[in-house]
Amino acid sequence: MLEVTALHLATPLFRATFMAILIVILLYIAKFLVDGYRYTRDKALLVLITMLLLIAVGAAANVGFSLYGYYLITRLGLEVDGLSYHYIGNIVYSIFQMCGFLTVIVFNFLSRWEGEGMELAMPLAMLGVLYSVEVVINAVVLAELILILANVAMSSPSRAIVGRYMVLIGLTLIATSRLLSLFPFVPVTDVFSSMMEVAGFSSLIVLRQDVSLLVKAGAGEAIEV
Amino acid sequence: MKYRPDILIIRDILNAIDEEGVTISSIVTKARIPHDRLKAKLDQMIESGLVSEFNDGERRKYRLTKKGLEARIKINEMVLFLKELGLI
Repeated sequence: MLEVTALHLATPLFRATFMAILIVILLYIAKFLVDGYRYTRDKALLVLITMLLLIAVGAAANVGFSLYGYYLITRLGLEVDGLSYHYIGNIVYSIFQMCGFLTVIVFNFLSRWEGEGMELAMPLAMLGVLYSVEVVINAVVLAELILILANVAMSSPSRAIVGRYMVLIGLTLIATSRLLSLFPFVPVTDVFSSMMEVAGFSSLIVLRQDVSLLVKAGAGEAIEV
Repeated sequence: MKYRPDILIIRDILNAIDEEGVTISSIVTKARIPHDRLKAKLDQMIESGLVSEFNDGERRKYRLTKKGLEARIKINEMVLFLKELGLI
């Protein structure tokens, strides 16, 4: 039988905060790519922008659900309902992330070929159902991440060595977050996975800065692809 | 021959042009792109304000505008970014 503890009740606010930070990171990288897309209309850029926006929409939904869950817990004392909304938010985020990563994998594969009234009043058993759904989705996202990680590791490196290693570390962190999320009802894993998602996607910012420094130093033009 | 994505074609064209002005045959050689395809790309770039064309005596030349210089930096960054993610 699942038991709701005080730590469980704090996780929605924690998750919402980290998801909000994640949205800022994702939009920052998306804006960088949109600038490039305007000049080139390149499909790879469009795919990456789509992935980032899908994950950002999922994160925004997670923020909304988790905050509403936190409101139900703290203001109305509806602990199970509040936690249920929080976990629904986590699942929605995972689904959007799954779709985002899938978009990149499919593209890569193809390119190689050439309010109060809304209370749910859920029974505690509902959390068990949500748990199972989240475990399945997280397993799929984890598998997708392993494919993407292998693709990055096998691609021929440029001179952006720092950015490359940061992306590899970042993807490993997100994969670890998904691994932890296979046990979603443990509040500590929920908390850690939120932080790992943010840290993992931050690696894209390091890569963006690294390539920018290389190009400004004149090395970018000399690199043959 | 390996397929070259659009972003690499545009990068190579922008890298082949400077602020002083170059002839179309020079761009053909440096960017490794057939003349007819290059002409179509150059027309698009002129239309979007990245490149301007002018007459240098008898010869027609192309040079990068300020917007083109900014675009060149951005596209070179973008290429490295995509390459590290294994997307090109």
